[in-house]
Order: sequence, then structure tokens, then C-alpha cells
Amino acid sequence: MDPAEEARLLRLARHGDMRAFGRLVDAHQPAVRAFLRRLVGSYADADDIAQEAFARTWEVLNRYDGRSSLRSFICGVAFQYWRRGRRADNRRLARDTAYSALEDSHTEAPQNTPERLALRRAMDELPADQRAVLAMCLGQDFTHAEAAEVLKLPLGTVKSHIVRGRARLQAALGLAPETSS
Amino acid sequence: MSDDLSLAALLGEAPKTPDPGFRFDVLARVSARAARREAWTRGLMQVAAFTAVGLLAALVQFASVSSGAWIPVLSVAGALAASGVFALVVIQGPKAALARARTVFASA
Repeated sequence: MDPAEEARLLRLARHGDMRAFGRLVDAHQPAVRAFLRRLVGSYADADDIAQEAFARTWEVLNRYDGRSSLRSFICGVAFQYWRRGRRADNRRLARDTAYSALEDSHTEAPQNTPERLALRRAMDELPADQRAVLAMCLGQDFTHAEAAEVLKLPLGTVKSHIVRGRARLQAALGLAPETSS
Repeated sequence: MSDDLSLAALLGEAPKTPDPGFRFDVLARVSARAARREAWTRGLMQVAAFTAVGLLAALVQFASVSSGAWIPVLSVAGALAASGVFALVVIQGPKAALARARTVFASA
């Protein structure tokens, strides 16, 4: 979506136009959902958080000042939701297995299941910030600067999170980490 | 398998096309949250109104005014409150008879 059209839709949405907001949802849902799917693991949970994040974004649209991209702003809201939910989850007993988290990923080829499980396990063991950085930047949906903005981290920290996180994920797959970042 | 895009694909993929169902769910959540917020505000208003009435009664008693002197005032206030509630129910309530009638007359 071109920036002028996005600005127009944003203006309309701020005045209560749900149709304009719906078009913004359509424009940004792939990136936001991809980020959350990589972060959370379960597609259903990821989409649930994404929907809550978009609904919350509607309420705080007036706080968006245009300094970052709207996509980054929505991802920031989503990340806060995920972190809050994760704290609540930690208070409960872990009841889901890695297999059930993969149940709803229909696009997965059967031969990739062991790799996906190993990656998911490695991802779950990473600190929250590092995990979020990888979820944003590995798919090249977000730049390092955007990730720093969303996660409120220094750019250098984002870069080091990527290098270390990538090495952990590659080690989980039994691959030698790449030497270059 | 070792490049970033492959890792990202294994971790989770973006939907190929924007999903209209997802949009509808988002808009439904927006409406539900707005309704919840409205109900919360309405509840607070009701609590505030009843608290004010209770405080007024206490103040009247504190001022040693006999309750008999306040009966006409309280009767009028009660009648006005009942009319207000009735009007709200007719305009915004589950049947909203008045609002529907206005729509019918406007379209005629």
C-alpha cells in the first residue's frame, strides 16, 4: 500500500471509519501474523493475539504519531500483548506440547516436522527479546531499525540478538553457525 | 536450509493473501470492546447517580429537615427518573420502538 493511500485511510479510521480500518487490517495482517506465528509457534494463538492487537490499535490510533511505520506500531502493540500473556502463562502449568502447537500449521510438509520441532524448542528457550527480534527479522519482513523501534532496544542489541539467536537455531538443526552476520 | 528465509519459513509462514475472515474477526472484537467500554461507563454513571442520591438523603437528614417536607420534591424526582428510564428504553432499548418508528417515518 502506498504511503499516501495509507495516510488517507488512517485519517478516515481516526474519524471512526471502520471500512478504512478494515483496509488497513488487510494491508498489514500478513506481516503482523507472520511475526507472531514465528514468535508464538501456534498459529491459532498467534492469530488470536494479532486480532487483539489490531482491535487495540483501533482504540489507540490517535497515539500513532507517524514516526515509525504503522506496521511497526501494530507489531509493538502485539508484542506487548504477547509479553503480558506470556507472564500470565508462566503462572499456569505448561499444558501444551510442541506437537499440539504444530497441529494447525497445515502448510507444513511432513518431512519438516523434526526440524520445526527442534527449531520451536530452541526458539522457546531464547529470552523474550531475542526471540522477538528473530521473529521480526529472519523473514526479512522488518529492518533491524524497525525491530529496534518496536521492541524498544538499541540497534546494536538487535544485531547481536540476531547473530546469537541465529547460531542457536542453526545449532538446533545440527548445522554449523554461519561465520558472517 | 541454513539461510534466514528457510529458518523463518520453518518457524512460521505469513498468510499468502489477506484473509477476509481475519478482518471480520478484528472488526467484531473492535465492536465487542467498544460495547464493553460503553457498558462500563454506563455502570459507573449509575453508581455515581445512586451514590449522589444516597448522599443527598444523608445530607437532608443531617440538616434536620423532616422527611415530610421533601416528599413532593422526591416524588417529582422519582417521576422524572422513571420517565428518563422509560425514554431510554424506548429509544435505545432492546426493542427501540421509538427509534424504529422514526426510521419508518423518515423513509416514508
